[in-house]
Amino acid sequence: MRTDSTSRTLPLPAPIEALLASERVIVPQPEIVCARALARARAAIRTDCETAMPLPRVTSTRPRRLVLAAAAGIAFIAGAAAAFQMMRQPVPTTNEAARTIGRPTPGAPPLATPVPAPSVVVQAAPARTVGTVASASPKPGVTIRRTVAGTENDVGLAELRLLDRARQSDARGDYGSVLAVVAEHEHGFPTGRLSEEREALRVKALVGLGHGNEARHAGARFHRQFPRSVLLAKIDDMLASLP
Amino acid sequence: MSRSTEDDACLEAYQRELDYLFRTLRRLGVNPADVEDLAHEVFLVLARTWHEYDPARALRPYIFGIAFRIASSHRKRRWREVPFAIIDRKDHAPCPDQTFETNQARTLVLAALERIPLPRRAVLVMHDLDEVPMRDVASALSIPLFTAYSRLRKAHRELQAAVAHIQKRSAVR
Repeated sequence: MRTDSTSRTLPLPAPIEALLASERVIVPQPEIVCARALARARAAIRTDCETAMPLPRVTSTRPRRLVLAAAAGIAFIAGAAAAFQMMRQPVPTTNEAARTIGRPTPGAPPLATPVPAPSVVVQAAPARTVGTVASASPKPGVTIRRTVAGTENDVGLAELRLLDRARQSDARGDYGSVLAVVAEHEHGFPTGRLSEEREALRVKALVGLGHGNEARHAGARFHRQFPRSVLLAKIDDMLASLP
Repeated sequence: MSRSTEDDACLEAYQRELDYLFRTLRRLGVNPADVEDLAHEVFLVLARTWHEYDPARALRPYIFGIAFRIASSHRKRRWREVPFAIIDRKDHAPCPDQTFETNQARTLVLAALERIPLPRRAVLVMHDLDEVPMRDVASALSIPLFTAYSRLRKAHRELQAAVAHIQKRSAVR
């Protein structure tokens, strides 16, 4: 098979050839390694099929238009919901201008793609404020936008810190403190971004304290409030563990 | 050919050539700890480009071409990374079904290959170990045939020098 090179390259010395001959033998890998590699490959193919396969099948432009229209509709609704949530949520700021520009405008551009509610709130607000402020007063627009973004971040951080405290108490098994922090969060941020996590922590704390009835009520409320939550399975598991 | 049939064919080919791929990656200087990950990367590329593969041609040079590109980009990546205290398992643990001499020879070859720069090593491995004709070597590595020959000549010289150096050093010890 290698005859084509003999005329152009010098043959290797015999000892080197002997060394190479020993390396030519391919030693089989351990079965477990092969099985692992094949399992990974199969999983990659499956994932690829689930995510990438349906896309090239779209041949007509009409279904694509329908999908785009639906996406735009969902994005608009998500934006409106986010704006409504922002209006209802108390913003701890003294800057009146920042507070007023947080309200939605009729001509607000919808988001390009539908995204889950929490990220909509984060992304949609600055985009909206830019449009409003730029039309009213171009110069102070930048600072006001920063104020709103900063305020939102502050609120998010405050929520996060509170729930972190609750989680730490939960890790210690101090469920009484968890309920206290949860109540504090509910008072400060009734419709906060982390209300879903808060309610889940409430159920967990009630289960931990052995308050079965209250835990079940809280669980039922969680089901009603967040019917598509990823935490539902956990909530159900916790409630199932009650005596 | 439908997508699932293509996938099955690709998976079957991968399974058939898995041992070869693992050894090729080692010959291209990939650490034993990284071989599995890189083999998976090769598979991903293979699956993505399977429709481009001509079944009339040998599969190994095609896989080698992918493995070479992945190994060389991995090498560049590794040089930029700060190495932590990961000790690579040396490949000289004796296999029960091999004689000690054979195993030593294989270790010596791998150590000598390590001393040859990757572009030349790829030509040498393909031609002298995988016994692929030079024309196919040039095609798989996307280089002119003349370049392939000149790399092979130089790689031969480097291999001899490396083997002599390693043997001399082990004799001193």
